[in-house]
Amino acid sequence: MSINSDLFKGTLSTILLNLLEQHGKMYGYEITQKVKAITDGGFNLKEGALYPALHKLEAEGLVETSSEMVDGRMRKYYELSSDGQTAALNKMEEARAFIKSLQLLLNLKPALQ
Amino acid sequence: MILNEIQKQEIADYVKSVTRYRETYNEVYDHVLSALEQEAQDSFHLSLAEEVINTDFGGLKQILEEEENTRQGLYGSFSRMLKQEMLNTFRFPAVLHNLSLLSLGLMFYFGEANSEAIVSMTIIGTLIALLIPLLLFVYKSYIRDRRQAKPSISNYALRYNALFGLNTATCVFYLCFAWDAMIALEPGILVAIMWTAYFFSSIFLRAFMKMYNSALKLKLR
Repeated sequence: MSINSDLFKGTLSTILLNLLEQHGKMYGYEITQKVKAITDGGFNLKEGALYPALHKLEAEGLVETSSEMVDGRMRKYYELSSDGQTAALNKMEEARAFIKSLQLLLNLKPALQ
Repeated sequence: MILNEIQKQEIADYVKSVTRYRETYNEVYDHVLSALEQEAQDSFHLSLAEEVINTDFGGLKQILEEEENTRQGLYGSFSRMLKQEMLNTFRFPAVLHNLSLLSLGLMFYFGEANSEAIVSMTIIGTLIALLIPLLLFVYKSYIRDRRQAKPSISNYALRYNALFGLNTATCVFYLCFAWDAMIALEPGILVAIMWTAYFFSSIFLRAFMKMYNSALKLKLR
């Protein structure tokens, strides 16, 4: 089932930081595919949400970029900076607390530890 | 889908026509090609590339908006970096350069402040220090990147930061040194202002070079 992307607003940077923390260096299209695979197609990074979020993280110094020539074209890779690694841990803590509150508020059965 | 060189060129030309900067072009082109290479169908039509741009990038308008945001963001971050590097010259050990320059200035000022040769050399030194960042920008934008199809998004930020010193010096010139200067000052004070300009042009140049070497080289590929 496709999930309403509005529900992810505000957590996109957390999702990206966490993905980069787990998988290291990634490029834009790879991130969209990874998100799709993890959520079993439930959440698609569409409508121009991904790159503005990545560029914002880059401007904030949480993400560093490097470019490599792949199959005759330039590919831009994103990876966490040292500040980004700290931010990823903090954001994950925030997300856990948020999900816990949401479970209590909506009276959901806990699925995450 | 396996794309042949003609199809890739068609996509490249299309992406080139909808982006303003090299960095955006590279990112959109790579994304579109990666997406199309994963497509199951075999028949290629340019509308498939348009579809990827619409769904994954939110359309052409969104790309231009994002370019503008990135451009402004880069300008802001380069300006902050330049200011920080200027402040760093007042920390140890960089402050030693400032102190030696300041001592030299004071020595000349209290020694032969009105010597025409020293005054001329100071003006020339200040101008050279302020022009080097601009020359670096011209070299990067018009000589090193001359074969690039699109300008780098960082050029905008680089240009305005490179011009910062020269703009400030021009303001000071019209304020104090021009024939019809807005503020009439005594020659001794004018020499002191000129030495101060010389001192700060050195700080600006060192900060600009550090900023350029540490951050810009990475972003300007």
